[in-house]
Amino acid sequence: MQSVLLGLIMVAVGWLVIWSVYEPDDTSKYWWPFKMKQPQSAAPAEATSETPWRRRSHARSARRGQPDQPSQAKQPSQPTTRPWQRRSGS
Amino acid sequence: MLRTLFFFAEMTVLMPFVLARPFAGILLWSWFSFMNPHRLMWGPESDMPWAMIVICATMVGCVVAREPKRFPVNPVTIMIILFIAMFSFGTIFAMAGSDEVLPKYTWVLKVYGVALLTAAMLNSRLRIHALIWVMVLSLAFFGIKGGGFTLLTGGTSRVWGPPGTMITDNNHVGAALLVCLPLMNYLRLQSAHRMVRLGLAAAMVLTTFAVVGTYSRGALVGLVAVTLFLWMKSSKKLASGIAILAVAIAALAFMPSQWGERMNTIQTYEQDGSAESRIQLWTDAWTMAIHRPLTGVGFSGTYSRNVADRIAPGLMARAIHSIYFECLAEQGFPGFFIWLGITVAGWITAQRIIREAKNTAGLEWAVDLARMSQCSIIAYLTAGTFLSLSYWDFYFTMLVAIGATRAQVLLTLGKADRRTWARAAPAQPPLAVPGIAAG
Repeated sequence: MQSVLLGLIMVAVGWLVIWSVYEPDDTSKYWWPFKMKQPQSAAPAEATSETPWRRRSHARSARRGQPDQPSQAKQPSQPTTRPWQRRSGS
Repeated sequence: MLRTLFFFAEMTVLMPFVLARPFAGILLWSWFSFMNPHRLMWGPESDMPWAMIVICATMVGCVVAREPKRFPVNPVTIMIILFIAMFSFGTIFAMAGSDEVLPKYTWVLKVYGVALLTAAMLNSRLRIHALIWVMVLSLAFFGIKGGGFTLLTGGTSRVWGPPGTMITDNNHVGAALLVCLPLMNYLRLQSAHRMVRLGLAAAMVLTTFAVVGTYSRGALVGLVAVTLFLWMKSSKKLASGIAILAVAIAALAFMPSQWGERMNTIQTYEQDGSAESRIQLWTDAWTMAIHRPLTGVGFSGTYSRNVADRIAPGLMARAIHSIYFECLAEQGFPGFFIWLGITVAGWITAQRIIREAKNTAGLEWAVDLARMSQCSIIAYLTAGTFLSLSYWDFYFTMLVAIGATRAQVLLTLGKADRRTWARAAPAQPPLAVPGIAAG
């Protein structure tokens, strides 16, 4: 049992080390056992966020037939761009 | 023999990666430091200074690799730098002989120095996640093994840590596994695959049995504290309370009567020789700290018969068995408060992460990590009351990861430009290897 467990951990650490070198943008690649949950999309978070004023203004806008105000809820920023890609013009 | 060959082959394959990307070296160094896998091998590989080899390769990689480097200035790293300065200054006035002081000084310097190097490399969510995985895998090995051993033997034999490491003692390994448990839970919460989540849940159960199987009263106190904290923070108090109660009853029913008798001595510590000697050791440590309040007696001073006799004949010269009193006696009051400040900085940083990232889409991982890190901090502070693990690298690496997580939170929220101390270096360009190119 100990040898099997040790073997699994050795494979796992090796996998992590090699993966950390490549750091793929698409984490589903080469990252299978350690793949993280994808961040929840912004839309459901906005709908469930604790912003009652947002829901009230949304309802008021809907009643008046006006377009809704921009959301006040926190939004995640865009994925971090890679400077070397900008420099190379890619 | 097969495992030794596999280990050697793996290291031969991985070492070039360390030169190319120093963060790979940080992961490997963490593995060697926390788990000491080479000690589980046979032959000359088990005695080779693997951690030294890896860290030297990492330093070379830091110079050679094109990776951008920016030291992260945050409360945790500032407190660590202050602590390094403080204990380096205090070592000049250490009371024990240089042959006793310098080895421990070098070792502690290495622990905090590598923690700072780790902080400099943790510049992305994925790197933080990878480091937590390596930390958990390193200790989960002993948790799963110890839990299985406890179940198979009916809890009649004690679980001990790996020989020749910082956590050899049953109390130490109990506390170490307890600190690791919340990090396992973080990975369970954040893993995408059901099988991995189930595997981690099983590892958590076995690790809990291993903690109980150490017969460590300190670890039991820590387990109760962590459980209470988790229950208080739980949104489903009734369901979690019933689950906790069920596990506690099952554990009590499973463990033999000798375990119960030992744990009962917590209430009658006045009659217990081990507990009594600890209180005497803490009193002696306090006497040493009062004798040298500014710099303490220095590294290894509490172990030196000569130092004890110079302060007050009759003082015990041995391990202090408390993270607080050990640091207080060795570093004096300023050093002790700076050392404690590292933990306070980690706790406050985790609290800020929870406050800032809560209800923000895409930052659930940071909130989970911050919450579980707080549980680990509680485990360390409670279980550590009864053992000498003041300079445990695993714990301080975790605090450094909290600092790095805050930097990622600020970057995601777009606040990093206003708070320059939290800027993190961008990730390095991917290696251009055909077939495995990133993106």
